[in-house]
Amino acid sequence: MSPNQTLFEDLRSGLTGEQGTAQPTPYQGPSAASIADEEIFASDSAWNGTEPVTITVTQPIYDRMSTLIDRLHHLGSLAPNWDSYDAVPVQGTAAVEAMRLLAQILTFDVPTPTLVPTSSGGLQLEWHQDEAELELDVHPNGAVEVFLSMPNNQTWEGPLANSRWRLEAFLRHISHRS
Amino acid sequence: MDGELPNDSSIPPSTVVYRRISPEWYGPPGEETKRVTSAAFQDKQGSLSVALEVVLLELELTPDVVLANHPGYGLVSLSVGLLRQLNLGVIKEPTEAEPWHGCVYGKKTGSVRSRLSKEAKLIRAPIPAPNERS
Repeated sequence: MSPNQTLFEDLRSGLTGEQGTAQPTPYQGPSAASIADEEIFASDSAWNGTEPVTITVTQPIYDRMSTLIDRLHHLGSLAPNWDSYDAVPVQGTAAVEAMRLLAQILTFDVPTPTLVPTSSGGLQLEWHQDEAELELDVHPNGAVEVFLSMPNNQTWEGPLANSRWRLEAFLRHISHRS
Repeated sequence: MDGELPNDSSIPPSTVVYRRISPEWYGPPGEETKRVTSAAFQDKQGSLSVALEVVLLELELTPDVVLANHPGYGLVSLSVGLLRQLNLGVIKEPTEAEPWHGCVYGKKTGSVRSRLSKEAKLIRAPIPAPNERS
């Protein structure tokens, strides 16, 4: 088994769903006063590259993440040059950060994204709904770049740290409507 | 356009470049309506590898040669004119194995990659791997 496969096995076994009846919370949006200071998408700490990873989520969110964890497991098994252009295998740090992001974003009651690998060893999470699109480019070192485009053709791109309120606005737009 | 940007003006804007598309870049997995992800147009080391139609024509080869020895991969084309509109430069960088090989230089921002994914013409759809999962 390759180191990457080991990592992804660890990641899968470490992603534990809390038992209970909690449901995804429909997103209400932050108050205007809280937007600038919210740390919704901040990681508690950077992954050190060796320790098993545990990401705790509610059971419903775990259920929604399950197919993406399977997909991640598959992507983690890709050999070098998987794109035919000398691609690097998906890096563990990118996988961990992508799952952390996903666990946080799925609390917003939004559709699950498409998960694709990048040639540099990163991952991209994508949402496409009507004319709206959101792409989170998770670099091999765990840094995240955001690109979003709204139906009115407004676009924005930049580091995740500078994008939180825009990201939240987008998530509101694509959230499930009951 | 950036004066430092590598660009071969002898490559006509009316021609196209071809890029192989990994099955991993064609999704969403398991769904009937699929699209080529913008991740397919991300630089790895400052440039994007492509095949140049202008060279394939000179060599009297068809685009199918780009997919030789790459079963399951798809192929898209992009107009050289569009690439230049997006401030990207195209040059010839032939290799021994791929004399038609070229590179696209310039910054592939999120909006540029998104535009490329929308404008790319699907010539041959990738065939999803048997173990594809959603």
